[in-house]
Amino acid sequence: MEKFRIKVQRRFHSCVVFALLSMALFIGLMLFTKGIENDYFSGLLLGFFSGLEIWNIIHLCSLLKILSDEKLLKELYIKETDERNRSIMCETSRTAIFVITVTCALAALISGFFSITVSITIAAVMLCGALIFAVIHKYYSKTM
Amino acid sequence: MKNKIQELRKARKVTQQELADALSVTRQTIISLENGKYNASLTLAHKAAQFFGLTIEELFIFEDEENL
Repeated sequence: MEKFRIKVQRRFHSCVVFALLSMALFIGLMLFTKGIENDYFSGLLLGFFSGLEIWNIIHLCSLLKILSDEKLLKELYIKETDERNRSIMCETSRTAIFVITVTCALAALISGFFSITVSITIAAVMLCGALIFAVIHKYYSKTM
Repeated sequence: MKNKIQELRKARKVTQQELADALSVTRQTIISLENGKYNASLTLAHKAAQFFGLTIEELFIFEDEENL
């Protein structure tokens, strides 16, 4: 349980760093795009980073609450290490990857009729996903 | 895989939540185990057998798929 407490503490510190970095990135992007007149892009930036920071704050508060309560820490430990939950997550991920890949492929095909840029972007995302999958698969094949 | 978890648990007057806490799993896992919907890993099977003071073979009824 002590090891798990340390793991949660590390998660808390990582969240703090992530919150600060995303705030810095947001400010940097806003300054960098100051001269650009694009309402959509400004709105997208503001919305995305606002949502991200709000999520960060909520997550940090919940982690603090968990670290101060032994019962909540034990509940989280059981929830995260429960083997049935892990199996469910594994099967869900497997099915979801397949469905997402097929959906992206169809989207790339159909969007090709309307916009080549969108079609190539979706294809590039799929290629990146395939490369990441291959690298992570190789890693786990070696370590497990 | 069939098992005797439910009957042993009731005989010892242990609730599903108490058993879940003892085995460090969720109550949903205990429910799935008792219904035979979920097959426990070796570690969980060992913990459950230790809890009831039995061997894994006494607690879980393994049916060879070829003989089914």
